[in-house]
Amino acid sequence: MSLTTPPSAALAALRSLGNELDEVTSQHLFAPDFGSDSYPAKISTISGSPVTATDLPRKRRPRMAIAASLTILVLGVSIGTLTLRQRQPRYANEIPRNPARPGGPFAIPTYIPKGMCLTNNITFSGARTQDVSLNLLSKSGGRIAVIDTEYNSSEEVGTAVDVRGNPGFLSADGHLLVWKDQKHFISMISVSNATEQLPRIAAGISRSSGGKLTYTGADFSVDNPSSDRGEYFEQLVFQNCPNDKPEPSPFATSMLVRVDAGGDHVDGYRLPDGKAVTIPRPGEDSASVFKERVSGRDHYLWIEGKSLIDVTTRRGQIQDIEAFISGLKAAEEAAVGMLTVRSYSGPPLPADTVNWVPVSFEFNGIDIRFEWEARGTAAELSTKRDGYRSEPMSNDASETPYLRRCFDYSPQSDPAISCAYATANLVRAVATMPDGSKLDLPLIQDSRSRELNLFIWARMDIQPKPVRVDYFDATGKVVHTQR
Amino acid sequence: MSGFANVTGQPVQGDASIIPLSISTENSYTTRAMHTAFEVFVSETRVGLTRAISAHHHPQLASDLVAEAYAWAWANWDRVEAMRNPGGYLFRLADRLGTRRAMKADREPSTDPAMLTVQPWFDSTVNPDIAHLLSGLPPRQRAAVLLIHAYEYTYREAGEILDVPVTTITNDVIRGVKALRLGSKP
Repeated sequence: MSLTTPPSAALAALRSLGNELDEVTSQHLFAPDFGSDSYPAKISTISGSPVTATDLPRKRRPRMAIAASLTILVLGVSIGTLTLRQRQPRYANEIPRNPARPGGPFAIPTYIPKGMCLTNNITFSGARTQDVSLNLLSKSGGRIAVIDTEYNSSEEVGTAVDVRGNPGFLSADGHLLVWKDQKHFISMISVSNATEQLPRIAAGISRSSGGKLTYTGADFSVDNPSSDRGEYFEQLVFQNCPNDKPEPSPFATSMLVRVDAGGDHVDGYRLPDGKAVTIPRPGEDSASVFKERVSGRDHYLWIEGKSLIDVTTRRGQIQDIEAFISGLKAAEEAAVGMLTVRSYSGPPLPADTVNWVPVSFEFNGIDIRFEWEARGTAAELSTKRDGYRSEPMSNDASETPYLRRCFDYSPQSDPAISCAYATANLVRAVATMPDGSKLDLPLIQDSRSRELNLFIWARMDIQPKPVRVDYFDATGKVVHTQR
Repeated sequence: MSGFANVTGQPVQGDASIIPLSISTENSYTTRAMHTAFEVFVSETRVGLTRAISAHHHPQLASDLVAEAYAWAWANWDRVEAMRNPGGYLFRLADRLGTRRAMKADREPSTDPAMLTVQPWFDSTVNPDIAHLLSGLPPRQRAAVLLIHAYEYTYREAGEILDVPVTTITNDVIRGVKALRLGSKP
């Protein structure tokens, strides 16, 4: 392809290239790639470029030297003086202080930060009628920032201030949060309300964060002193380090779900006309799609063959799975109750967590399996963040995968442990019917939700009728079954 | 366990992806207005700025450079807001950051992916030929060609993004396309 080809073809190539560039830039929000090296070693080599006074462009000068000379000759010293007075600040201490801004004066960092490619993912939950507060702390105990979400009846209000009280700016799409004072090491935070109850905050510690220090994931932790206001989860996790090329999946694993009891639940479905949904039982044959509004949300219920699937289209995969599991409840409503699946990523679940159930589960003879494709390299999965395990996960499928080892640890035994060092894409969900037939479950993709954290937990509101627990090895083969 | 999934809980109003950020500190009114203005500014300039920077520097660095520029703009919003073309100023700022990074990479050769500033400009997997040709152009011509022909900006819009006059854009496009034609001849 060259520009000597007809103009339309050349233009098409350019536009295609433009789309490709857009795609590349959108995938590299935070920081560069780790490559295949281990994280701590790699991170120490990344060197970023913060804004310094010398980076600031000057007021544009005339392009031609002659024009510039003539301007100086004609306008003389007075204009020159004016130009000097209007020049951009050269030094941090020249930046005017604005007493109207909360937080007081600020300073532009005078040196370049070291880069980092860690994304500090914090997922926390609380009933929406409660406020949630997060403190971002350094491991040395210093508080970096406070993120608050407040709830009222009409809107959710989030407040983010750094340790000096400087407010952060949050872009409308929830992907850019910058603090005025970059010395506080967190300059970009992605806040997304992944689900109704689980605001998800991913704090990107970017190279724009100032300082000569090199930070790794181990340097940050999350503290939630307001745990009485709602449960929370925390996580320090790699988040799609840019440049992570799509690689063959180091392992095809499945999803981890947690079954729990108690709490609220959706109590069935009812059509707008008041008629209750008739759930096809296994063996019955029906096929239809209809929309139902449950708890203020639109659910798309898909009935095909012998099962009922509830797929919401609200946002990406997490909700899809959640809705799907909700649909399972409908299929099992008489006996089981609802199973709600939420995205969970991060360290151990709270102490009241019970019954870890892996990715395969069975309801009344319907076997559900999720297939996941891990993202990133095995080395990334084997972060040494907590120092708890240093052995890398092997790409060798014959070895016990990292995830399996995670299962072995009691969530309560070591709060530092985290299995969710990587993200994964849900690539397939398959239901196997009692008669052996398989059904690919619909998964609605959302470009904004390309990733999904590795673990998903679930809850049963009514005593579950569990459930066969399958543990998988790296090849997807069932290595242990617990009933 | 009440903190877990509460499906029957309160529905989210509006777009669930947006959490309005309210500054509950002093001078909240001023801060809100500032926040809103900056938010509008970012929404209006972000795409063009990122595209322009990705044309000047390695596309994988573009978002980071732009974020750096926005971080500075937020810290200096009073000053930036008063500028005639704040988006263009941030482009030049981000461009300088990228150039500085490239200079540093030249001084300190590294395998560090953060130093993705060496040629070729961009290894396209989809359009390798045109990307190779564009790599040979000066950054400004490359940016002009991409903004005009790939992204279909008007010359005036491209000029504002790159903070140069329309005539400069016109010349850069003409020279860039001419160079591409010459480079594509067998």
